[in-house]
Amino acid sequence: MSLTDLAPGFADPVRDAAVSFRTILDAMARPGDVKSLPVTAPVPAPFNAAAICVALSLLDPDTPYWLAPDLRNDRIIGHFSFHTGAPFEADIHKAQFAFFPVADLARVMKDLSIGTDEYPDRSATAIALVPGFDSAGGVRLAGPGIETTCDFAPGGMTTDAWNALERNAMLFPLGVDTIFAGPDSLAAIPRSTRLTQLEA
Amino acid sequence: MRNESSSPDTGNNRSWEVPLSDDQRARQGWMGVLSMAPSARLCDLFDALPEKPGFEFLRKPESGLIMTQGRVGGTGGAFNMGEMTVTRCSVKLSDGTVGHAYQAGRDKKKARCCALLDAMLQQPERQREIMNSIIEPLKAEQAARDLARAKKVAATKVDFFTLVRGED
Repeated sequence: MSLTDLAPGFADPVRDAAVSFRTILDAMARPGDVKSLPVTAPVPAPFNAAAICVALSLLDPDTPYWLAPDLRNDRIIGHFSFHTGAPFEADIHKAQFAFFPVADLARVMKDLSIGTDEYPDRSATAIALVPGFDSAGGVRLAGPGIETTCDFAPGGMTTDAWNALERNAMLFPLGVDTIFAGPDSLAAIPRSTRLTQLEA
Repeated sequence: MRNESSSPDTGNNRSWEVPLSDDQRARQGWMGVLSMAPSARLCDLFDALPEKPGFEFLRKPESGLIMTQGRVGGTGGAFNMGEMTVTRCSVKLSDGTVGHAYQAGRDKKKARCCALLDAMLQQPERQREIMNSIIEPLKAEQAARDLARAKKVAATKVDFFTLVRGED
């Protein structure tokens, strides 16, 4: 890549990363609750705003990340390397964060690290780029962080994708935590959440 | 130590063995001069420049610590010598040229000036002008300062020699 492609990151890196981190934390604590982004940063194509906020807040030199082929380009790798220092990892099994379009979810989930019995925290975090959160169908969520139940319907999810997330929930306490990153908001389904698929 | 051979510090990719292009050598030269320049003098010279390009920050001036490394002899392993304060800054001019600066200390204004100058010096149409008006004068002043100090030190030079070694 040429350096002229570089774009700025957060306008105020320390504050914006902290505010954005807090939003991700809240989203993980309240599964299925869609949180709007408190800050924005320039978005190199083909990423979206929430995925960039997640990357700039969570990546650092100790967290290898993986990109789906559709998202992988020199500009994105250069952007993350300049602003976070995180190394790109071509082997998905070794990645701690994986960014991919939601269409790839079912395929990607089975390759991600689910942690070990001794260290369940060594699992990967999946970041699925979605077009929005107002699609038909979806799932009913229950579990820690949800008082009764919560309906959740991000765009682009297929039955296969929901099946993959259901299988992931059965692995608890192992398994992958998933962040759904939209154009101006994000939500999460951690491994502890139970899913029931709804009719579209 | 089998690990040593795979470590970047002792492998064959030592930074000083990487062949540099002429452009890189020239850039290394002006970045070196800028980093050694006194802040006030540098900012004065920068403010005196006739026209300044539009720019945006890729990374606003920020201070932090870096670990400096040393090496024992030519082949010894690297060791951590100590931390030092560094201020860094990256800018992008309106034509897309990117300039970087890493400066010892906490002087954010100087880091910003240096990053801007680094970018402007990469523009072929301004390089000569800025080399003449800023880099060359700073270089001459640095050489004069070094010489003055070398003279001062040389004046206190003492020759030691041993009269009797006391070995018999």
